[in-house]
Parts: sequence; structure tokens; C-alpha cells
Amino acid sequence: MKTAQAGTLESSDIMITLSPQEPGDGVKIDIDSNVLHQYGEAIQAVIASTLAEAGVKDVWVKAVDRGALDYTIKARLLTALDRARRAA
Amino acid sequence: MSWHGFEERSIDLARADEVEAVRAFLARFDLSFDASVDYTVALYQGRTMVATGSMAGEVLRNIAVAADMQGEGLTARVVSHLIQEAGARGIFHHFIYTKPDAAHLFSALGFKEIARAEPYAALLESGLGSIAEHCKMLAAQVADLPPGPRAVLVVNCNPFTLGHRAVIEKAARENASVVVLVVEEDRSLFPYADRLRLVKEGVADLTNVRVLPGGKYVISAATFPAYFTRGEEITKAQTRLDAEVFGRHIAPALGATRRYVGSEPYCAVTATYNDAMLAVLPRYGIEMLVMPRIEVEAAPVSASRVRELIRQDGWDEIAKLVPETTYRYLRAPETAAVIERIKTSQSRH
Repeated sequence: MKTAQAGTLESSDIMITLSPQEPGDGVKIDIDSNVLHQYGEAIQAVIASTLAEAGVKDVWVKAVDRGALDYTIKARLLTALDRARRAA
Repeated sequence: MSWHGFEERSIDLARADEVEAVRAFLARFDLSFDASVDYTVALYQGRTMVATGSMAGEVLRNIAVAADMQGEGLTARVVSHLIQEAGARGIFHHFIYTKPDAAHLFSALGFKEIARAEPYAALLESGLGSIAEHCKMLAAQVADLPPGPRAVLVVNCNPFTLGHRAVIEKAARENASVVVLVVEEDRSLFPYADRLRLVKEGVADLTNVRVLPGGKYVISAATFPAYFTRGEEITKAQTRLDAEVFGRHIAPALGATRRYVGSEPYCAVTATYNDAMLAVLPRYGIEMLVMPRIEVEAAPVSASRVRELIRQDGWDEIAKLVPETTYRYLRAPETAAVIERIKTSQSRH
């Protein structure tokens, strides 16, 4: 895997950057959002479960959210993952 | 690509008419177009340019949106486009250098403010990596230095001279320990790797001195583009911003309360930088000590004089201005290419 990103900073979207980590480092998720207060945990949960489903164990996810809905978050994350794997 | 009637187009920087259009657009915002950028995008509505932004390495700059188009999310479009373009080039960390009253536009896009120098400029960053992580790493690199008063020097050493040696030696005498940060930006006649090595070799006998890479938060293209581009108008803004970053983040991470500099009789930018530090650093509890340059045969020792002497093959003179380690490097066969470049270059740096 290589560092990759997907999404935009436009309203209702999310920009996700993924960086592979050393085996054993685990999953680190940093979220910046204009709705962090209300939805921070929900965004975190979508990202964590999507990573788990995709079998990704050691990765640093940086997400800048601009009010994206769950399926947008999932779609952007999967695209970033796909790019990260293809780049390897 | 076109949404909402706006079309994104990358500017061909080799074409004078396209560059001129961006230049004219930016002039409306009192922004000058810096030809050193790597990439520029513009948004059009029909044939009218309504927004633009550029990047140079990991620095996003010259971002502007037409006054009657503000609130349409065009800043987000421009910044997204630039970040995607940067990502395609393997760059995943970004700086934005902007006016303080525009900083909030970028905070809304996930950028975190590193420092500001009112009323001139603010520096923000986003992406992978942050100044907080950088500072943690710096702190770990000096953790084993002796406790007590600690001083910092930021040096370019292009190349390392007896003048640099004298300032560092004095700091090492007057403090429990000294950290020397070597400017990492590779825009000087001597390559960064060589400059770093010569500083390390030149102070190897001083056991309480630690020489470290300057990193991207100390006199870099992000904190300090004027040092490299010589825009006189913006020099004051950028020197202050760099001093703010140093005072607020770097010095505390290093546990330092003093900064030593050599006096600067020749270079206006460096002299302005020293003034900025004198104005800013005491607010962060950092004492600034200016040391007069040492002289050899009634002339101040300086790296620029060494470079001038290289152009004249004045090797006997050079031997009086630099330590043995630097002299050996300058005369080494593997340095021949660097020496040749200096002889043919008119650059003062």
C-alpha cells in the first residue's frame, strides 16, 4: 500500500487521505469536520467499520469532512483504499 | 470538468497569455503572481476567470475568488483541485500562506493555523503530518542534552566558516547546551547535505552542541519564501511569521530560551530577519543575542566572501576564513562540480 487520497473539500463531501503504517501500529483515524460536535463519532464509526470490512489493519486515516453523508464517506474511503492498493 | 456552470482549467505556465490572465486577475486582489509556482488552476464561468490558485511544492498560494462569486464554494473547489494535483505528485502535506483576515476561509477546509504575524500574514497547514508531531520529534532529539540554559542557532552555512564557528563556540561556552538547526531548503550554492555535514564536522569537538536538520518549519519555502524570492515588500511579513513559528513552537520544543545570531552588515534580508526576531522573540520569553562578526585582517568573515574568493581562486585567503574541515571539502575532487557551479553563478546565495 502507498499513501493515497480521494474526495474533495466541497460542501457535503469528505476528503480522505490514507497512509499505510507499520504492521502492529493499528488504525489511527484523525477527523476534522464542520459537524464534528454532532457527528464526529458517527463518522469515526463508518470509517472504522469500512476499514474492518476491507481487512485493513495498520493505517493512518486523515479525514476532512464537510458534512458528507454516510454513503459518501464510505465511497470516498473505498476509492482511497483502492488507489492505495493499486499504487503499491 | 464542469459543475454549477464553472469550468476548471489548469494554466499552461509556458504560455505568456495564460500567465498574464492570471496575473491580471490576481492584481485585483493586490496579489502578485510568482513565476516560481509549479502548477496553477483557474475556474471560469463562460470565458470569465472567477477564481484561481497555485502551488509550489507543498505550499498553496495565490488563491483568489472574484468578489461577486464569494460564498459559492469556489475556494473549496480551488483548494480541492490543488490538493488532488499535489496528491498525484506524491505530496500529502500542504501549507497555505495568506492574509490573517482570510485565514478562516481555510480553517473551514480543515487547515490548522500554525502562526500569524498581524497584520501581515498567517500560515496554516493540512494533510499528513503537523507542526505538533514535528515538535515531538525535535524534543526527542535533544532529550539527552545536559539540563540548564539552552541556546539555538539557525544557520545556512553556505559554507561553514570560522565566523559560524565563533558564534557557536561562544553559545556553547555561555550555555549548558546548544542546538544548531541547519536550513534544509536546498536553494543555496552548496547543497544541503554538504552544508549539514560541514557544520557537524566543524563543531564535532564541542560536546554540548547538537546539530540537527532545520525541517520545514524553520526558514523554509513555507515560512519564509522572501528569503529565496527577494520580494522586498513582503520580507517584513515573512521574517515576522518565521519568528512567530520559532517562538511559539520550535524554541519550546527544544527547551531553548536563547537564540544567537551573527550581526549582518551585508544582507538586507538577513538584517530584516534579525530585526523581526528582536521584535517577536522576547514576547515568547526568548532572549536574542547578536554577536558581532569576527574579523580576519580587518575584514569580517562571511560565507559570501568565501564564495567570492572561490570565483577568484583565492585559496590562500579562503584558508584563513574557514576551518580545516571546510577547506578540505572545498579542495576535494568530489566537490569540483559544486565549485564549478559557484564560479559560473551570479547568485549571491
